[in-house]
Amino acid sequence: MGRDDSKMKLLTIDDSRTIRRVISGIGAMLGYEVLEAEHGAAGLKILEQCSQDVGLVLLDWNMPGMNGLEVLKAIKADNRWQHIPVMMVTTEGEKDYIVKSIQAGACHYQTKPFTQEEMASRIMEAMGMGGGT
Amino acid sequence: MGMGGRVAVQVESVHEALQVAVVDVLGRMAMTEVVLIHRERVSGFRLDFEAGGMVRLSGALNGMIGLTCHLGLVEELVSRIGGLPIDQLENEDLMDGVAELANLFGGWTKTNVGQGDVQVSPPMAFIGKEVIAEWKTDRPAERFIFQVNEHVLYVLASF
Repeated sequence: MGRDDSKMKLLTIDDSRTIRRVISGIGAMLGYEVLEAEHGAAGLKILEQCSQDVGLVLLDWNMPGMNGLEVLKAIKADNRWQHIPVMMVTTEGEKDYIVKSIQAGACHYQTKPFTQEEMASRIMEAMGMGGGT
Repeated sequence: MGMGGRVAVQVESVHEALQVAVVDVLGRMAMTEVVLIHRERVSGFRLDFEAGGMVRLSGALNGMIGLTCHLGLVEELVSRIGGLPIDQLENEDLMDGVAELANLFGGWTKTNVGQGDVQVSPPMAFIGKEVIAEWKTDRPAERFIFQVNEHVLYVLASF
């Protein structure tokens, strides 16, 4: 049985509650429930508990503890979660960071700052709903 | 061009990148128009309004970027970015908002400069009517004064 994307949740892992709130608002606007984690370990714990409900992980790069690349590698190394698409959401805009994250398995890369429309479009694209520009 | 000239060019390119970053960040995240109204050399890196935040850049670029302004502007920006009414914002929202603005200004400046391996520190932030924060530095600081709606935003750079 295929997954029902309309019931999938988004998981935002970002140490800034401002950014988590922005992403939660955009997710809600698109009809998704958004789970929030303020660091990588908390994000992985959420995946331990309910990875079957998570349709997309939105992952910051610079965080206390595990950085975003380490979290991404942990997600992609676990066969329970490696199918979940991961979008990096970060101020790191250099090519080197983008290449590293794509090589590690990220499906999308969104730099901050972003507009609501850009982020909504990226989420829809990552969730297979079109919206790409 | 001598060494001093190259350094001056590099610092000015950071200043230009910072100005672009401020306009980009507030325009995209807070949907707010921002206009640079003045810039000046100042004697110290001092955050002396009711809210302030800063990050350090290290590596290929070494310096500090900070912002300071009255609480009213922080409330307006955080409200616009997060989509919450001002009367529902808690102090922690404001503090995190200032910290994130400092992080975005620093991170986006770094990207705009494109100088290779540069690390941006975790941000620091404060909120409080009686707080003044100052960092002693042997490098000059530049203060950029932006008009943001009816408010004024001070952005500092020391490189």
